[in-house]
Amino acid sequence: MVLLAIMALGVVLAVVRYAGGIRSVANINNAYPWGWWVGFGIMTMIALGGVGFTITLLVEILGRHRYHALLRPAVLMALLCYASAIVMLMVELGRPWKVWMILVSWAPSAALYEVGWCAFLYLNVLVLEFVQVPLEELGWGRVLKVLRVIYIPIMLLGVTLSHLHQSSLGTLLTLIPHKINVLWWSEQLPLIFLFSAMMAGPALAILEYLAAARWLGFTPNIDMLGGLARIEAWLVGLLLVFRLGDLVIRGAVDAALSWTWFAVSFWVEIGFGLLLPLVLLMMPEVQASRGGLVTACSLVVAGVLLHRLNVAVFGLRVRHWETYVPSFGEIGITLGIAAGAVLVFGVLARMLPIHEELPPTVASQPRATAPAGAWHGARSVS
Amino acid sequence: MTNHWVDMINADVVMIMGGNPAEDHPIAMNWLTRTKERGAYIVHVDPRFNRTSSVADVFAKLRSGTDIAFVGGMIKYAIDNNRIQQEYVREYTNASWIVGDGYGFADGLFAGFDPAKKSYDRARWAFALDGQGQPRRDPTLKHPRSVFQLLKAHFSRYDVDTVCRITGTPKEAYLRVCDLYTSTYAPDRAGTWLYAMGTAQHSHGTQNVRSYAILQLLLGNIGVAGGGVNAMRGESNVQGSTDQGLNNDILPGYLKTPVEADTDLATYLKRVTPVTANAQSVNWLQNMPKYVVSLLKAWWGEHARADNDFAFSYLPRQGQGFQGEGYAFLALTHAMLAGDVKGLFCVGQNPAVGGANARLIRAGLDKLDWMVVVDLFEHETAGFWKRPDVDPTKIPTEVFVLPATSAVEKEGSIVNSGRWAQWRYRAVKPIAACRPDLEIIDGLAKAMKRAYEKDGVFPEPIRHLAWDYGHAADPHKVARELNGRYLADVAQPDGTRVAPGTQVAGFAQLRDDGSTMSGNWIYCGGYTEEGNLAARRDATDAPNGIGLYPKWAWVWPMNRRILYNRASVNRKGEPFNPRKWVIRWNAEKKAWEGDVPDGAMPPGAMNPFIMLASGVGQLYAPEMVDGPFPEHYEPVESPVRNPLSKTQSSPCAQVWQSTEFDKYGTAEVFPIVATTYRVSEHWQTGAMSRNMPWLAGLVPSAFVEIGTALAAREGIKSGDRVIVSSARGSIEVYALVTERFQPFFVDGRLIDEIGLPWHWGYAGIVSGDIANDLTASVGDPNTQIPETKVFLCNLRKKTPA
Amino acid sequence: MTTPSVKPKAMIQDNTRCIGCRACMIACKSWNNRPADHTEFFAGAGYQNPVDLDANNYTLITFNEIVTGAQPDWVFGRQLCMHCEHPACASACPTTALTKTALGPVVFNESRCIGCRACMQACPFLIPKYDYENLNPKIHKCTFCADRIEAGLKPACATVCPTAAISFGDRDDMVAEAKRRIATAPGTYIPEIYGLDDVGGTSVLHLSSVPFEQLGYITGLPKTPMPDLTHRWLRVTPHFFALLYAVFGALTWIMHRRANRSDSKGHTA
Repeated sequence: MVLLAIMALGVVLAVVRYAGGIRSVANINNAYPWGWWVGFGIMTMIALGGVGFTITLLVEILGRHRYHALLRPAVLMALLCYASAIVMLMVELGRPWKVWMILVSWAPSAALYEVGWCAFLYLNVLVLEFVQVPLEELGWGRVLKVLRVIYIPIMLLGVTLSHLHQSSLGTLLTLIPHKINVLWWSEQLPLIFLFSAMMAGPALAILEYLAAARWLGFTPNIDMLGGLARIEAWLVGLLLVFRLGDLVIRGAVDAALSWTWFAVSFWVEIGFGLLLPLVLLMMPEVQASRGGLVTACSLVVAGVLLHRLNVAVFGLRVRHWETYVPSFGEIGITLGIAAGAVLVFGVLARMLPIHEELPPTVASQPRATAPAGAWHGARSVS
Repeated sequence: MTNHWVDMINADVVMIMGGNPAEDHPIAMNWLTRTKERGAYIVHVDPRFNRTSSVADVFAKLRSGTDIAFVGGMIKYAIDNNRIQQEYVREYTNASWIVGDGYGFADGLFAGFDPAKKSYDRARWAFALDGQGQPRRDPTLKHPRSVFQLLKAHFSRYDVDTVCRITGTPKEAYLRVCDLYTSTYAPDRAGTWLYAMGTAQHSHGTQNVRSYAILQLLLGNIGVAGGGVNAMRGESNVQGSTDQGLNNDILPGYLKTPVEADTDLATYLKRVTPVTANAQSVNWLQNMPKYVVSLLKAWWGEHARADNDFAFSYLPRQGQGFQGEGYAFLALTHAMLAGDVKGLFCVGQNPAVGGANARLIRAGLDKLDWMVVVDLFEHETAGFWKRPDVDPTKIPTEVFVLPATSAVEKEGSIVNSGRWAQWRYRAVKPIAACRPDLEIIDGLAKAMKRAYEKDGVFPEPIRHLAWDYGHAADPHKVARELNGRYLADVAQPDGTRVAPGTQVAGFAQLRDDGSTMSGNWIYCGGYTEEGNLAARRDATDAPNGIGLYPKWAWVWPMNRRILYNRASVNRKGEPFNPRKWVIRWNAEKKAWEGDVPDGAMPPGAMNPFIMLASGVGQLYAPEMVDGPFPEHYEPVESPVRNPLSKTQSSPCAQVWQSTEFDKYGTAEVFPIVATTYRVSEHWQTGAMSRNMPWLAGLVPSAFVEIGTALAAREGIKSGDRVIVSSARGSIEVYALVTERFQPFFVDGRLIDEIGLPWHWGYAGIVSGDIANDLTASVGDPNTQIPETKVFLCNLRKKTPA
Repeated sequence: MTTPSVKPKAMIQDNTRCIGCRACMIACKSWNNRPADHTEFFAGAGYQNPVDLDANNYTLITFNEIVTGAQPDWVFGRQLCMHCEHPACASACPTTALTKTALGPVVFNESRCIGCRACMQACPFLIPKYDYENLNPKIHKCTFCADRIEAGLKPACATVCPTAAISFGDRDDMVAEAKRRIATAPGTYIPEIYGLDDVGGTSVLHLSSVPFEQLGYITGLPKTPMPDLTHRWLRVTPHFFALLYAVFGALTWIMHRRANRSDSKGHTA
């Protein structure tokens, strides 16, 4: 109900935006053309959508089928994240009715061009990946057969595309070293963006699984989650080292040690988004506890959110006479979209076999196409 | 101007004083940019560092109203350091003339002052004459009563310390200016002097200009390329308007208006035609009768005959004016207030905002029976009856507004400050009911003629007007008439005969027997049988390459681009500066080359200043009503006692005191000096520019510029609303705090000065309070031009209600 | 990029000649049909209006009071699109709505614009502006009067400037002229041509009597083109794609085979 209310508010605000122009709902201005919508609505959404390719990479490419129960939720989450980002884009763009122009242009020098195309193709991949689930329910056997034949190449395409556009969002921001504070701008931004998206994936998958378990009423397999948590710890640790090393190599340590709001935000991001979760995730007690996992993974996800916002919004200093603070309208619309995505996820999670209840201890699993446990939300088991 | 705009490129030093061309004549800055490129220095002397100062090489600040002290000190500096162009001064000025014993000067007053009449008996200042009635002379310039020695004595009191004590100029800057500018005394260096309203609009404005003229003569800078005394005229075609005699005291061509005592033509001509016994003086104006008669023939045609004094009696004659103070603007506004004026034609003017003591003016408009406004917009004067603080139902004036056209919507000529008459075609057709001024005046005249056909008091001057400019008034017909034509078959000196109807080739051919007519003798030669010379656009320069462009448009008089150019050569016709020669005598061809020489006679004894009866440049000018030499006086409203003499302000200044609006303040109540000026973005009273949205967007609101020190003391920041008040009223404007306007250290203490752009009024798409509500009805004794450039005021931050 | 018959143009903005009259601002608004600004007082220092470039003002004169010792100075600077040789805006635009033409201008084709505002983010001089209140908004910036210069005319601003503070001509000639001015009057100019090689060179060369940051100019920019920063990553996109695809494909196959082998060794699900 709450979700519906938030979503409705978002819709109302979006109508205002279309009827009255961007200025009627948003505070973005000439000095800060990108604000909350880009920082949260698009960049963070796409970073969180990395859960799709991360889990797919882990399960399908690296063969860690132990985690296959996380695959379908991950794909659905990714699909909804990307769909949300597209919806956000329709609000964010000055002329959303012209967005198809990207597809008929040739602009290989533009990072956004690459992001646009990749995201467009990846969205199609996600649809093709996910649509197997409802088609299974509907029993469209012939279509399913085709889909399963092309599954591997499509899946590989999806993972590869994700690597490209996750990093390209970082490439996009390498263009403005003079605007982004030294604490965040780096020539390695593409890699930072890619690694942090990869790092966000498992954390989000763990959070979602625990939340779904509570909400749908099944017992989560903590062992499996613990295993993933240990992998996650490695990812967090590597990113932490990479970020700090990059900071030192670029000679930005002084800025990090100064008494500015930038430094504060930076250390919050590093401390609460990387360091603390790393410590937590390395502890077996945390790996084995629901609460611990929720805490640690929430911190990781929040850290990624804060990073995107820092790089794209808060870490910018342009003209001294113009400031930017997100408006109620901007935040309202993004929350509305997010609420809508969660709502759809919830509805689909009830209607379709997304979540698999696993036995308490799990050995290595065979192929994901032959689940062994009970499916929740399934009308039939294939 | 004696010179012209393009000529600036020939200067080695440009002095800009009492003017702000970057803001008020921006197009002219093109020439000053080129001047600087050639290595010249630009000196800017002004109370405030403004946009002209930003491109000047040297900036020296001076307190408003102290120009004579400043320039007087430069004159002393030039004399003391022997920076005088000796031959020029000796030959071409009255430096060597001996002044009679009647002249004297003490305590700030010249001899012959009558305190009751507030005027001088100028006969006291006459020269000492010899037996033939010629002035006695001492070519060595050593005679103690020679003009030169009297000049030196007079300005000996203007030493650097005294000057800086009066003007508040930092001594180092002042000496830099003196050194730089007086370096132009050398024959191969020239200094040009540019000035505008900051010089003229003072109670001693004319004497301000006199001080420039004296210095320029001493330095040999008149009549040469890159020299001159050059007024930057205040309106686009004000030069044209004064040329055509629109001022109250002149007829077209600067002929004098008849006065009551001129009972007939002969009496008038005797009064206005200068005579001289000086054999070396050409005294060109001895030809005055030819120009007067030709003018009368132009106006009354066949009704102006030898037997009726050429209709001289049709001309109105001036009396003493309102309260004996003449007919100029201040007198007019007071007459209106007194109810003496029934009706007013207000053509292209907005006195409710632009006139000094504007509240007085608006109160005077209330007293009119009728007013006809001819303008592009309904400005403050046109809408005076609905201004903010009055009840329209109580004002009986009938107001007619005739919409006019702008310069691009009509054909005709505009004369720039350099006397260049440039003909312009019509670029766009007027909109709606807007009509060119010519059509409006033409229609009015025709209607009046029709009315006076039936009856009227003294109808002949109107009935008999020779008025034929076409069914639709044609500016070409007007221009042809200004040039003039032959009305009879006339024999020329070379034996040929000229048929009637032929355009006159030049004013030297005008005659006083009624056989020629000319609407304006100085324009004679501009529209000849060759055609409309003002329309020429040939950009070929003359052989001397000093930017004369003799075939671009037409210049009065006779296309002479640099006036008094015979002063640029010695008695043998050799240029003082061969690199930048203006004219030179070609002995083989027995002719002058270069610019049109100012007097065609061969080089020799005749003196170059042919328009002056004396024939020479006037260092000592006994014709001025307030003194033959300039003397520093404080403005009528001043914060200091005059440190130089016991005479506080100009003893002859016209200071109106007759009405409730004529109040004056003292420094106890109004300790701050105020001045008024313009900005680039607005034009005059803003009647046009405050109706242009783009311009209004740049500079929307009335503001006052205040120095940082004063602002800090009063707790004022930029953007605050402040009340500025004088003895005559108060206004509310925005404050702009700036480093560029700092106090002056005068006579041992700091005097603050602030400045108000005066472009705002209650009409227009952006409006503001009227700065001229604060200025006073004080006039220069020679011209009655109001002293709007300096007065006393006070200011305070407006506290929120 | 340039054919022999088309020589790229450039402009000199000489602030030592600028008298701050703002004829350029008005001419620009006139030529580009921009509406008037509704202002109340001044924004910025001196008589400046508005405070920055915006959708209605494609060029702006800044008023700067600079005091050295007791002597005040008033120096004017001008903001306008630099029409970079290697424009960051054009490289960042995903629909090629902004392109650099052979004659020099970086022109905006509004029919291609989707309003992503990447150009606004990318521009190091903060030039492109947006009319957010418009229902059909677009990017606003100086066009270098591309239509005028194609017709052999000068840009509107260069045409009206009364002091020749704005010069316009072939870029080679303008560079030579700028250098000549500095060389012949070293006391007048600081020895720097803003825009000569900043961000790889631009089409607007500024000269000044005081350091540019005192006039509100953005300084400290690299001498290399901004697009190099993204180009370095984007050009390996196809290689990256092929490599990753191959590696992931290989990994998938290896893992699949291992799983099959372990299956056949008897481990069941």
